Parts: sequence; structure tokens; C-alpha cells
Amino acid sequence: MHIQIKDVRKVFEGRGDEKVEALSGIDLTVSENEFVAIVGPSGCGKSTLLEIVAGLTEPSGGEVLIGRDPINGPHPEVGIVFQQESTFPWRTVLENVEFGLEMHGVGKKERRERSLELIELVGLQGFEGRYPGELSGGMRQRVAIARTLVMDPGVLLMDEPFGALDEQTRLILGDELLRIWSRTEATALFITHSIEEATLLSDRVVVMSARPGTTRKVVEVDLERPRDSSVVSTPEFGRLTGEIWEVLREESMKTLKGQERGGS
Amino acid sequence: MSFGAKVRLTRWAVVLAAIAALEVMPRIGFGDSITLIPLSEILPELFEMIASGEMTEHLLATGGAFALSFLLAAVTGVPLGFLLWRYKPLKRTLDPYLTTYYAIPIFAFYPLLLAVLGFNIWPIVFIAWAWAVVAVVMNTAIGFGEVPQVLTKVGKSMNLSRWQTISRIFFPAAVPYIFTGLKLGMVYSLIGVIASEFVLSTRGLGYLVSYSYVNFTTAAMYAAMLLILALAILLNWALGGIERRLYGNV
Amino acid sequence: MSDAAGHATSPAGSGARSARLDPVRIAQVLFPFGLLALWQVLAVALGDFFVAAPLASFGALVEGVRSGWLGENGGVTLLALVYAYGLAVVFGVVIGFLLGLSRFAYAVFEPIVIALYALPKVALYPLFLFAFGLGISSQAWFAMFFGVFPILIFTMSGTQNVGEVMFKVGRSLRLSRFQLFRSVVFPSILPSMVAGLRIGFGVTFLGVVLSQMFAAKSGLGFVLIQSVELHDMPQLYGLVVLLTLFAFVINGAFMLWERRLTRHRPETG
Ligand SMILES: Nc1ncnc2c1ncn2[C@@H]1O[C@H](COP(=O)(O)OP(=O)(O)O)[C@@H](O)[C@H]1O
Ligand SMILES: [Mg+2]
Repeated sequence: MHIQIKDVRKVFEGRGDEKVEALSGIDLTVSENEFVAIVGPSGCGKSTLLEIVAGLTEPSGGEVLIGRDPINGPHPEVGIVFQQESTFPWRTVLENVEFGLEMHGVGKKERRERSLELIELVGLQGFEGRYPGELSGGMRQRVAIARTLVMDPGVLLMDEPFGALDEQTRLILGDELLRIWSRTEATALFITHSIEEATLLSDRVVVMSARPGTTRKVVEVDLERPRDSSVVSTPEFGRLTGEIWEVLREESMKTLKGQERGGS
Repeated sequence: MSFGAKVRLTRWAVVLAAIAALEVMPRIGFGDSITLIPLSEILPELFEMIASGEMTEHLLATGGAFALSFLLAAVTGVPLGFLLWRYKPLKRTLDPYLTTYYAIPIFAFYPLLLAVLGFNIWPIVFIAWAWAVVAVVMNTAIGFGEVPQVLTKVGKSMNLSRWQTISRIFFPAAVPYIFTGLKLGMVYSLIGVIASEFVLSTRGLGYLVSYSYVNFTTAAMYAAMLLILALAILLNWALGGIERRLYGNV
Repeated sequence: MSDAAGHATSPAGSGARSARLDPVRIAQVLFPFGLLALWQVLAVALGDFFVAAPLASFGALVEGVRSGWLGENGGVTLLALVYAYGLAVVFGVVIGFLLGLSRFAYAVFEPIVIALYALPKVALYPLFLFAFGLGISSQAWFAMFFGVFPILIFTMSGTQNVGEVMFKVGRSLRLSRFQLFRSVVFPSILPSMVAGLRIGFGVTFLGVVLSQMFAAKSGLGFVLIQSVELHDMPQLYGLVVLLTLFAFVINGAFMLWERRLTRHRPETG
């Protein structure tokens, strides 16, 4: 299942009089089974773009296709993991993962089986009966990932799922994610603010410009798969991250300057 | 128009609409004309009662009981809260009781106090104090407890004495909480005073409402109600203003 | 919520194993007995014109059961309480939920509702007497007017604080409106709603007792005032303690419910 993003634009009729132009003409195609990461300065419209692909936000212009279907609402083949904490604190890990299946009327036995399988895949076996409040932030995000993956989506969208964690944990969870993803064969679109994480995970890294967001540069990551976080120390990895940082630095400076001028 | 401006405008519109309803409803004969009186007829009555001095006695009685009970609540509540914070086992012991304190119908004690202390100002002051003081105690204790640890470390690193640490670091850091406690204390003691006066007493604005109700002097009753509400709203508004300024500085 | 008026939800102690030997636990259990002892001492010291002894007060209640006035008036109070609380829950939850759904409505009404909560509403009781006449209806509507605000405020802020992301999860999983409400929104609101129900109950109860102290011919509030006039101290003390214990027990039950709901949530909003 591939994603086609065609000239997608978004203007928020925002709070107050001023309009916020979040995205100005994004074009991007993610092929079947490809892993694409998006990096960009904060506030450049990354989350907006992802939510448009997920059918949660309506674009002001352009269109998104999932496979052959134009998107105008949540698509059954698309799963999304959010930047914010999104597990249900009143449900156990197992009940969280079962949630989507339960809502769609999957029988108790089948949904339990599939959920346990995913809990194992994300490495949370032994924690099925725990509540999210008893887990660490990284474990909670893995619950959220399992809750999305259990629906067996052809397209997996992730919005800085490990954004709140420290760099080491993030790289280690990146390893986990690579392992999980290689088993699911989903097409993945992944947002992060970490250049290392983007490079480690993806086949291509898209660098977005400062707001209004456009694609500034696309960097091919030709590190061989399967890979893990040990590639971080290779010269090739350093060259790639350097290349990304060069562009990202420029865009981030623009964002900073804009803020200092008072137009946050 | 910005979100905030829209909100404020709508809020004022709602308030004005409510006031207008108070004026219009009696006029179009909602309810009977003896029991409901339009606002524009209550106001002159109120001014008349104030000007003639009829209100003075009650205003002074209510004001006196309110000031006294609140001052007592502040003077006893803040030190008690401090004590509770200093002696953790005491606080932990009393916590379940303090958290259920406002669940009990405190006002049921008023008749008891009347029987014990007699028909004077003291049962009123006592009940209003009892209503207010626990809010002051709890917020003071919470306020001291919420002082960030790093501030204590700053104090230690500067070799402050124990008294200096308390007066220069803990107390100022806890002020917003203590103020919240005092604000609630003020609101509660006013409610306590008015309720006591209303139910059984010989003077005060609350008494004036019930006395006028019993004697069918409806206009005077509404005037007293209006004055009570106006004073309470004024009080809340002033306290809110001070609080915003206080928190704005933190 | 800026509600620190003693409505905090975290009582002491959680370690179940060490609980048995914890001196704080022991002190907590002993505290009511301490109060009882103090009461007895005061009764002896001040004499029964001022303080009825615990035993005499208890006797007055027993006598009340036997002669029937306690059951009768207690029944009236209970009926008014159920009537009032039912109204308060329905109005508080429904209005609170609706106002909490919209960020705009919430911003407009939150300060108004909180201001209303803080007013000395007792003085408005005659309006209820005008509207509903003497009797249980006026008491119930007045007590409802007392108790509805905490329920409304807590439900409103609970609804407003359901994270945007929770709705997004629901939508991305293509839930129906009903599913979204039942399985996502309602469980999110529940803990804060129950806190509101608990505080609202206390305030409603206060409203009922208060209303029965004024222009009533029955109910426990009425009996309280009557006891003052007759200077029947045992009856007065007995009733006050009874009302306090009743409130304490119901509140405790609500707290257990609340604790069950928030047990697994260190960061409850
Ligand atoms: N619902 C909204 N209404 C108005 N402005 C919004 C809304 N959502 C996002 N924005 C604005 O759009 C821009 C892009 O936001 P977002 O996509 O969250 O950025 P990113 O995820 O890259 O940090 C920001 O300036 C943000 O303030
Ligand atoms: Mg984002």
C-alpha cells in the first residue's frame, strides 16, 4: 500500500484574525513497504501533514491517496501513533491493545490471541495486566504502537512516538521499531526531530522547510538492511546526518529568528 | 476578533442577559406581582434603606461578624497549617479527617452553638470561623509542602539559618497558596455569617432577608438579597484581581 | 481546578504491608475515640446545661427511634436529600458535559459558574419558598441549587480536559459516536465526575439540613432548631453527631469509589 501526497496545502483559520499557513504544497510519494522519515524545525507542519494523511485533518488544497483511494476521512488501512500520550489509563496493557479489535466486533478469543502476539512483538510480555500509569513513558508508547499495529495497517504513521525520551533510549527503541517493522511489512511514514533516529530508521529522510512547510530536501539513506543502532558510529552515517543537518540548521535558524522577532 | 475578546464579550452578554431577565420577567407577569419585583424597583428601595439608616445596623452586624471570623480564621489557620507541615505524622494522621471535613454539614453545629453560647454574635463568629479555618489550614500546609526542593538547596548552599530559610524562602514561596486559602476562607466565612443570620439571629443582612420574608415586606427582602449578592460578588472580584496579580508574579 | 478547599483526594498511606504497625494508622484509628473522650471530659467539666454527655446523647437518639420522631423526621430529610441529589446529579452532569464539550462555552461559563458557587446562596431561599411553596419540593430544589455547582464544575473541567488526542485515537479507529462516548470520553471524565459527585453530595446534604432549619415543620434541621428552643441538649448533640457520621460514611464510600478509579493513574487530571 503506497502513499501519494499531491500538492497538499493547509491554512489554519486560526485563533484570532490571522491565518496560519502551515503547509504550502507538499509533494511526496512513499512506495509500498518503504520507510520514510520526516524531519523539520518545530512548528513547520509535520504533525499537520501526518494528520492529513491519516484523514483526521482536512487539507486546504491538494490530495492524498492511500493505494488507489483518495483520503477524505480515516482509512481502514491506515494506523497512526501520536506524539502525545494516548494510551487509555483505565485499561490494562492487554485491554489497550485489544481496543480497536473490540470496537470492530472481533471475537474475544481472536482479539486476545492477536493482542498477545503484538504485546510480545513490542517486548511487553509479562506486563499484560499492568495499567499504563504503572509503566515508563517508553513502555507506554510501545503499548500505543501495539494498539495501532494490532489492526494490521498497510500504512503506519508515527508522529514523534519517542519524542519525549532521551537520545539513548530513543536509539534503542529505534532498534526495536526496525525489528517490529520488518515483521509487519507496512509502509511507514515517521516524524521525528532527531536526525540520528531518522537516519537509523529510514530509506529516505525528507527535510522540511520552516513554516509554511515544504519539502526542502530528500536524502537517500543507502545503509544496508537489516541494520541496528551500531551503524551510528560508521562514517557513512556521519556523512548522511551531516548532510541533513546542513539543511535543517538553516531552516531551524529561520524559525528561531522568526520567534525572536516576536512572530511565534 | 481574538478568542479571548470573543469570550469576554459573550460572557458579559450572558451576564447582562441574566440581569435583563430579572428586570423583564416580573414585568411580563412571570410569577405573581407580589412575590417578584423588577430590579429597577428593588434598587431604589435598597438606596432608600441605606440612606434612611435602616440598613446600617445590619450592615455593621454582618460586617463585624464577617471581619472577626475571617481574622480569627487567618490568625489561627496559617500557624496551624504551618504546624501541620512541620510535623508530618500529625498531618498524615489528620489528612483523612481534613479531606472529609467539608463533607460534613458544618452548619448543623450552629443550633448547638446557639444553645451553648446564647443568642449573640459568638455562635455566628464561631460557625463562620469553623467553616473558613480548615481551608486556610489545608492550603497553608499544601503551600509549604509544594516549595520546590531546589529552593531549599539554594538556602542550604548559602548557609541560611533555619529561621532565615523559613522566613526568606519557604514563606514567600508559599504565599500564593496561603493567599488562595485566605481567599476561600473569606468566601466561606461570609457564607457562614449570612447563613447563620438567615436561619436564626437578631441582626444582620441574612436576618433582614428572613425577617422581611416572614413579615411579607418583599421589597425590603429583595433589597437585602441584592446587597448580599452585590457585596459577595464585589469581594470575589477583588480577591480574584489580587490573586491574578499574585500568581502573575510567580 | 483551583479547588484546594480540602477536597483533595489523596489520604495518607498506601503501603499495605507496613500498615499494621504504622503509628500514623494507629493514631488515625484512635482519633475519633480521642474526640469522644474529649466530649465526655467537656460534659463532666461544663455540666449538662452546656454539654450533654455522649451516653445521654446516644440515649436521646434511641428514644427518638422508639418514639418515632427520629424515623419520621429522618425520613423527611432523607427523602428531600434523594430528591435534591437526584436533581443535582442530572443537571450537573448534563450541563457540565455540554459546557465542557466546547472550548468556547467552557471559557465563557467557567468563571460564571465558579462565581455562582462562591455566593452566599442561602439568602435566596425565600425565592424557592415562593416558587415551590412550603415543603419538601422547595427544600429539594434549594439544596439542588447548592449541590449542583461542584458536580457541574468537575464534570465540565473533566470533559474539557479530555485530551484532543483521545478524540483523534477514536476517530482514526473509526469509532461510532456512541462508541467514542462510551469507550473513550466517558471513562476519561469519570474520575473527575465522581470527585464532583462526592463534593456535590456533601453540599447538597448541607443544603437540605439548612433549608429544614428555616420555615419547616419537619425534618432533622427542624428538630435541631426545636431542640434549641426546648434546650434539649442530649437530642441536639445526638442529632449533630448523627448527621456528621452520616456525611462521613457516605463521603467515605465516594472516596473508595474514587480511589478505585484513580488507583492506576498517578497523573489524574
Ligand atoms: N488546530 C490548529 N489551529 C490553528 N493553528 C494550528 C492548529 N494546529 C496547528 N497549528 C499551527 O500550525 C503550525 C504547524 O503545526 P504542527 O503541524 O503541529 O507543527 P510540528 O508538528 O511540525 O511541530 C504551527 O504554527 C501551529 O501553531
Ligand atoms: Mg508535531
